[in-house]
Amino acid sequence: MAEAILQARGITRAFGAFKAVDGVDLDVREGEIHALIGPNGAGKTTCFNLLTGDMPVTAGEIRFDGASITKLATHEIARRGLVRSYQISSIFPAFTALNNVRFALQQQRSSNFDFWRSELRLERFNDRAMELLEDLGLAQWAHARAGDLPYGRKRALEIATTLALDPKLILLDEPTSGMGREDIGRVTELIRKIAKGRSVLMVEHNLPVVQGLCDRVTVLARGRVIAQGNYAEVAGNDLVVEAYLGTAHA
Amino acid sequence: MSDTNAPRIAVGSPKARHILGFEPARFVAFVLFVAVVALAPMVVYPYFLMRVYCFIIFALAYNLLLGFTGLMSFGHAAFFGMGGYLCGWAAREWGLPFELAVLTGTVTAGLMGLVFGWIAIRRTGLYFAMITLALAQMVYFVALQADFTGGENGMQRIPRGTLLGFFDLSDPTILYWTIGVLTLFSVYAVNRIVHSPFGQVLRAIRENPVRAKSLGYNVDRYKLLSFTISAALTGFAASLKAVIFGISTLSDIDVMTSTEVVLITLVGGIGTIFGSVVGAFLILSMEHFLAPYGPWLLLVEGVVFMLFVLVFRRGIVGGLQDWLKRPL
Repeated sequence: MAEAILQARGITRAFGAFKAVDGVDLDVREGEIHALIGPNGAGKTTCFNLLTGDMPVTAGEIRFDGASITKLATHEIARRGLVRSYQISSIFPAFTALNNVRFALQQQRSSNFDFWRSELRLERFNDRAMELLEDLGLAQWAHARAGDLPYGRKRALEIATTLALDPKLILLDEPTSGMGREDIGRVTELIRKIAKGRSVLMVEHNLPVVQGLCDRVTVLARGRVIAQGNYAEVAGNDLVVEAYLGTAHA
Repeated sequence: MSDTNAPRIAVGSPKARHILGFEPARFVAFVLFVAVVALAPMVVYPYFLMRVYCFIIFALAYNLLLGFTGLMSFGHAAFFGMGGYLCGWAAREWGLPFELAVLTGTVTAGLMGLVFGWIAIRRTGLYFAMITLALAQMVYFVALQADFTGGENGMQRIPRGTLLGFFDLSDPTILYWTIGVLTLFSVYAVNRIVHSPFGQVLRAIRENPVRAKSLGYNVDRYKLLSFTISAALTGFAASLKAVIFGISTLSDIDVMTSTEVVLITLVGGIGTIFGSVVGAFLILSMEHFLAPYGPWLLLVEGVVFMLFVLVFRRGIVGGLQDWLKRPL
């Protein structure tokens, strides 16, 4: 069995008396696509925020790639190779698509405080940035203003930017939300492609996508893990059926 | 950040080679400005021009923060005031030469910026602006009470000294050219900062600070450095002004000075280089011509402010660059 690249133990986030995430244990193994599912308000996005340091944990420990990241800041966690994408496409609207990707590539070099140098130095990242845009079918939009791209393309651009950091683990927050059937198909293919040689943890509402794509599934309800396993195991679990149908009929 | 405020020209559009670090259209603007600096004293009172130049540098410093980093400060009068006082004090009491006196004012403002910034970047948006305002008001109070500033009388008899120990700055022509060249150099330097790898990070932070952080950038540190550079350059502008006019007063450190630089930046164009130049010329000319009408000036400035906020948010140079589709 492959080693777990991400291990969360008993992570908890309380807002006053309310525990949005309550003692969650989560293992993402190296090389797998792992889905985090659950009804609305189950704590999936909060879980992501805890893993990436966007929000501090109230209790619990998170280990990534063999070291504790519980107390690290978001940018430090990102530098270790755990990078997320957001539920609402998070791009730099006034930059060209190429510059969006180049900005991520620029991070891995140390010259970013050099305020006396010309930005033309950054052009050495252009080739790699173009490659990434091509991989995601964005080559023809390379010089378009990112804010002007259609929704699905913005999404793809955000993933290209995330990939530019060459992360060991990618967190995708609802990658197919708000997409039509065709876009969903394309993004699913894309995720399968980018998952080669790295691990993916994704929040996803679309269960057919989860079924077709994910190696393992963790189900959250009211801040707790109620089931974990492959899709078939989880789908047959009584607690999961109750959590989904229970809320669906409420 | 809402997309509606973002520049319409995409950052990173393919472009021709830079000239002196300027994009071609900006280089043309720079050449025009060099011509203005060279020829204007034949028709305009040089001391008025030098006053405008100081505010150009001030506005460049402010625009670096507001236009290129996306941070709104209401406290820049503190750096402007204290920079001027410390430069004046260094020249008059310590007998430091021109260069070192100006350096003293610049470093003082920079250090204040480091402290202000360190406190203020813990919050964003309106709260950030309010912290800078509160800190600046505290500094104003110190300036009002302390003996060394001369209180209501201002710090007077600041000597000009000599440039490089040789050029006598009490000669108006030498003074004018010194200030003119330093202003041109400031335009060059700020354009260079904005178009450096560091400037690229600043603009990304303006666009989307959350995403910049999630891509591994220590956003707070970049904001702090930007704030410190902006404050230091503000102190530089104030130091020159103290040397030119031989006086630093409470009006330099008053909150009105903070709003004045906001107005200059807004009218010229937030996030443009030459907006600072155009804005400073316009607003200071307006103040000059309306000065005899006293409080009416404030009313007119208020109307201008609202006009630009409501119908012309990109400012004059911002509007021009949208129309030309070239960064200015």
